[in-house]
Amino acid sequence: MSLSANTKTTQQCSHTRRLGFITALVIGLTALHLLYGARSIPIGTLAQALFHYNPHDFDHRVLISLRLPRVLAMLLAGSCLAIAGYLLQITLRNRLSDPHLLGLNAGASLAVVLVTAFPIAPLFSMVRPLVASVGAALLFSLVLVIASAGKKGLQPLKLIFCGIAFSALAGAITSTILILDEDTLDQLRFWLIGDGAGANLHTVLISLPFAGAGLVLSLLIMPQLSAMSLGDAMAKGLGASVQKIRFMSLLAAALLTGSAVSAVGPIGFIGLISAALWRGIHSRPSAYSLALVAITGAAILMAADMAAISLFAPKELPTGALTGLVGAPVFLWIFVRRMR
Amino acid sequence: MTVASHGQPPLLSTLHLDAGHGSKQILQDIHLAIPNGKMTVLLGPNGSGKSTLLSTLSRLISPMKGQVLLQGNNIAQLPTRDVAKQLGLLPQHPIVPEDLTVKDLVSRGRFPHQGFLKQWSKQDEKAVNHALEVTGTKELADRLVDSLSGGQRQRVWIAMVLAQETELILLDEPTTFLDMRHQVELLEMLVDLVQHHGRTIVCVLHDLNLSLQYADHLIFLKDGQIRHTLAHPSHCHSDMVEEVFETQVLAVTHPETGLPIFLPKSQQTTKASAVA
Repeated sequence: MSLSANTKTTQQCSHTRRLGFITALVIGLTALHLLYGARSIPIGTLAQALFHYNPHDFDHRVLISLRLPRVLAMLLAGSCLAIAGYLLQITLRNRLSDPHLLGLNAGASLAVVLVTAFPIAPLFSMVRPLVASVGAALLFSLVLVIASAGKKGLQPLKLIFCGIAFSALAGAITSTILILDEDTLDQLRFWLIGDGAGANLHTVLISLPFAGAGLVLSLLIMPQLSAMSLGDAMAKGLGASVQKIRFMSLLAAALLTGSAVSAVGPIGFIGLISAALWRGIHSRPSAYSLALVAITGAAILMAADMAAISLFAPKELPTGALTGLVGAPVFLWIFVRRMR
Repeated sequence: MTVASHGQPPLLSTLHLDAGHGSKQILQDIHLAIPNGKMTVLLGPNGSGKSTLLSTLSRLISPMKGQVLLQGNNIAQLPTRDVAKQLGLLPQHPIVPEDLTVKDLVSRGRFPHQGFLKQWSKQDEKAVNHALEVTGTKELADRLVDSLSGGQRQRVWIAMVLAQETELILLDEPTTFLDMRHQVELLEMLVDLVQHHGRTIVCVLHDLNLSLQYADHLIFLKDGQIRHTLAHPSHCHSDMVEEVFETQVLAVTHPETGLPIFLPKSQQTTKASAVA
């Protein structure tokens, strides 16, 4: 009895330590991102700008209207993409899953481009995250249906291949629309390659409710997903509603991906990298695992965005290119380890 | 948990059940009652429908016709979590999560008893410790499940189902892939659960002779139908075995238990004696 009480406390200790470490890392990276750039700003000015904003001070304006929205967008998108990836990985029992590889990003982008080129939704600027989520959900459903076809059903590699194929297809349609419609291309040029420079406060704020809904949904289903990690039959035996939970999980992944893509564009591999960093996290779906993955995702995207700005300064790379640079090797690493 | 007494109506029974996978029907008109407080073994050749029957009894498959009754109520209409408080299941191939300790895994058996935001209770802790003790896995509590041997792992899975604290436990071929020693250990553990812990067990087994030594009640299936229901293993005769398994057998008696054992007649020896 005392032994198990002990292990419980040590476990909680290590939980708190990990969460504390990663949160401190995000705060540090955020501060660095705000202060360093084409123009370095002293840390005192940051505090002043936050608490005594002076619209006539140039540094204050750079901080509040340029860098702050970008940083907030990265925090939001990083955590959303990480949770979406984690949900996909545990729900599909496939660690190679990521919104970018399974077609959610491409579906979200296509939907946003379509609705920008043919403005059918009247309040489009307010519902852009919703449009992106619906696009993500639709293309991903197609991927799932095709990947599940055939005698052997859904298999890890089949799923990834289908995801990549449908992403390519959606990408081709997106390019076609943009080549035919230059206005849309001009509006979405930066956004489409996942460049943080396009982020603004409005896109971040309208993403929040959808991201919040996705987050609450994910938190609600964590206990059931933990039962599902023992296999469908075992989970049903334990009284989990497997079909319903799987649907809710994929819905949450679509909402979170839609919110992220709407804010910063299609950025890949955040979900893949964030979950791969923590050992055993796939066996223990819980609120703690969710928080850990989310904050890790925010930290990675923040670091990637800083690297994108500073590596070849004064030239800026698109942030999405940077995450791909790190993410592709991680993908190969997991692939080689899993397939052995 | 109340211990089911033998005079009460059966915890688990079926009414003229038809079931199968997808549109392919396998089971036909299965009408049975599982005796309370006993170990029932489902036997039959490959493809006879014994695993399908276990899946239907445990609501993994919905019947095409007829009903599965849990304490007289149609199991399909009961909330699945309520069912999970009365009926535990060990399927054939559960997934072993990586980097999970034995204790963590066994704790998942408490899932049906926990609500959203409901903290881990003393009752939960007690049930888990009890399950570890009964299955002899207490010393393994802090080991990782994926580092255990097949026999140990199977005990841990049973501990998880025990922690669920259900009167009924259904197991689908729990001895497959185990060597002889671990098969016997596992079956003796199941008998102990029935005799000393008031559980009712339904188990699919492959091995006829082991089943005869440990079962209280036997159900023989063939081609999706019940062929024989035996209230005691001593009622088993070679003509039943020959009919169900389509193999010629010799009946002998176990010198210690006095229960029947069936040896397949070898084609080789028949030839040899014919030559002689």
